[in-house]
Amino acid sequence: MNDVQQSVGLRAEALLQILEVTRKLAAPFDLKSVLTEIGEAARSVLHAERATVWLYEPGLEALVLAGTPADRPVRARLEQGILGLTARTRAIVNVPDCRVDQRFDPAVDLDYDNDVRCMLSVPLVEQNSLVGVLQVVDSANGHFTADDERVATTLASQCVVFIQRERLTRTAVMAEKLDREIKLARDIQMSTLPSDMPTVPGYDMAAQFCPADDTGGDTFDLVTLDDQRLFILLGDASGHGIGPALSSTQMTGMLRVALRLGADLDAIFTHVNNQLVEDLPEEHFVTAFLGMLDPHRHEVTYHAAGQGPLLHFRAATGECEWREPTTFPMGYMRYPSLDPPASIVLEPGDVLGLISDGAYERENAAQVQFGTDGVERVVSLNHHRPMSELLTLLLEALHDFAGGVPQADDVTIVLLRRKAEASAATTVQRYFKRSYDSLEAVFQFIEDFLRVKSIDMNLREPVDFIVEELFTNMVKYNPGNEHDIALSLGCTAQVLTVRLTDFDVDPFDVTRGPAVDIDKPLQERQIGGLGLHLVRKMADTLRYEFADRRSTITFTMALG
Amino acid sequence: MFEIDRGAAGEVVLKGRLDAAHCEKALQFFDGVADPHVVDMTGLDYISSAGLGVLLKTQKRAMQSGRGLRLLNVNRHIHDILRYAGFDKIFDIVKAGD
Repeated sequence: MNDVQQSVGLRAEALLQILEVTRKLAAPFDLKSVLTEIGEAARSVLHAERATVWLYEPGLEALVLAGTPADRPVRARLEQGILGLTARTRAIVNVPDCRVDQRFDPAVDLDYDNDVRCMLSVPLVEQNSLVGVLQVVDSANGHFTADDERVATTLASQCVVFIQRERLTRTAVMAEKLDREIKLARDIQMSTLPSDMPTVPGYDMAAQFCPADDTGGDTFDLVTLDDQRLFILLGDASGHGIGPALSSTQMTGMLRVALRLGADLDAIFTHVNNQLVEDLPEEHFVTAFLGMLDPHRHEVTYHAAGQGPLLHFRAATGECEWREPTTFPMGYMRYPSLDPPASIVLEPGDVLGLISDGAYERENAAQVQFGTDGVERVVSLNHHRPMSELLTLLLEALHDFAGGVPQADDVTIVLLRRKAEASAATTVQRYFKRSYDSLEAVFQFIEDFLRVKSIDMNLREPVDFIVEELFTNMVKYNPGNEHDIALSLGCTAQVLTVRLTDFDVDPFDVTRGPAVDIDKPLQERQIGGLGLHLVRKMADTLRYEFADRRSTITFTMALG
Repeated sequence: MFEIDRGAAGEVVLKGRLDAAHCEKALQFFDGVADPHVVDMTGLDYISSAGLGVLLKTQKRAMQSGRGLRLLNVNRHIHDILRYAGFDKIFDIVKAGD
């Protein structure tokens, strides 16, 4: 005998049979085949008349007889018979004569023919947790020996491995099936999104849905109506998985039908909400922006049900305005009364940004959120670009910000920009290398803007002076910083607005600082501080803002 | 564009735009003039605060030899800046057209 045989003390013949069973079970089997094979092996190795496998059902605290139909299973409670005893104690039970053993229960202990004589009941256990029980009855030798117990125990441990392997495989297959179903739901969800951007005269738009790995509930829609109005939707159904994807897809469908029927915004909003109240499960809801752009009046009327913040970038001032939701999310309850829709009037160059919370709440490794600041940073610098470019820049900024932290939620962005008219108020912006050598290009940029806007050229020198002072301070005090400095110029009929933005810096408030005494005698004069003193004197207004390691200095000069 | 040179009468002639990128050049030139006095600013279109620093430094040196700088033909914009900086009290300034 070799060491293995020695250690377990198995008969060579039994060992060979067990190895044979192991070899057979190593092939991929369904559970039924595995259990049949185990029963047959036990019967054969132990020279028994019958052998059966019972599987433990933890939820029911019961054992179910393997091979019985799923709709009519044969079950045994854990307190019943030898079977239950084996399960409860997780110890082998060897009954030499069932007829005189009080513990024996013919109802469960394999007494099909009322003629059971001896029985070996072996627990199937893995890491102390019960998998089932193997019962073997009627040995050809009249009773089961200690040797049989050892063989049965060895066989049982092999059985457990295969039962568990089959279960794991089944779980994996189920997961794969679920994945396929989620992908299908995702495909359906994606197929409802507009494939092309509609054309609305005087407007530029872009939209994109970026799903997280799991199915989320974002959606958007852009539909042009016969009278050139544009219906705009951004929706986000609560939760993850197939449910929200279906909810948002259902909402899109309802909205399109309502639009076809010619319903107005209030009616659409009310009826779709009421339908969602009826259809959605408890605690499920959809945040949604439903808006209608009138391209002639340049007005977007909307209901924002729990959807916000909404971005309105104003080109004239270069400022981002954030709007709050107008009411609570859809699908909770019927709206007791409906306020008239809110409205945003888009001036030339203005941008309306509808962005799902997956973007604002995108986190980096330090668990800091991208936030409205992150959006503002990108939009305020790039609002004049085509919306498809701005969209790409936003998505890139999100990606860079997260720095490898996986996307936890869908991100959907809809951008709509009223095109700037050549003569109208606009803001232009350029980045300049952090160097004194950039000054020439900076001055040229300012000169070009003033010329194009027909602004009094007498403003050129003071504007140059202020910009140079602010720009060179940025160069001087952050020499190692690799970010370029942004300079934007905007104007209305009344005011010229100039803004410098410096990225990834410590705060330095240029509006403060010691006053400079300009009456001192020559030898006491210092040049330090004089520049900012002059800036404060020359600019009509001067504002300093610091957020997210970004310094923004804005000054204005009155025109005309 | 910025140029600095000596005129026929020994005056220092400034032309173009004296911004931060050209101050080093201006300061070196002034430092090379033993006794700077008249500065002709007829062709000077623009001066930044860094340019004011060059003038202030040169003025301190010039005053040590007894004569300060005399800034000639200063345009309106530059005159405004000199005034805001209180330089009208420590320089002899002649506005363009005066």
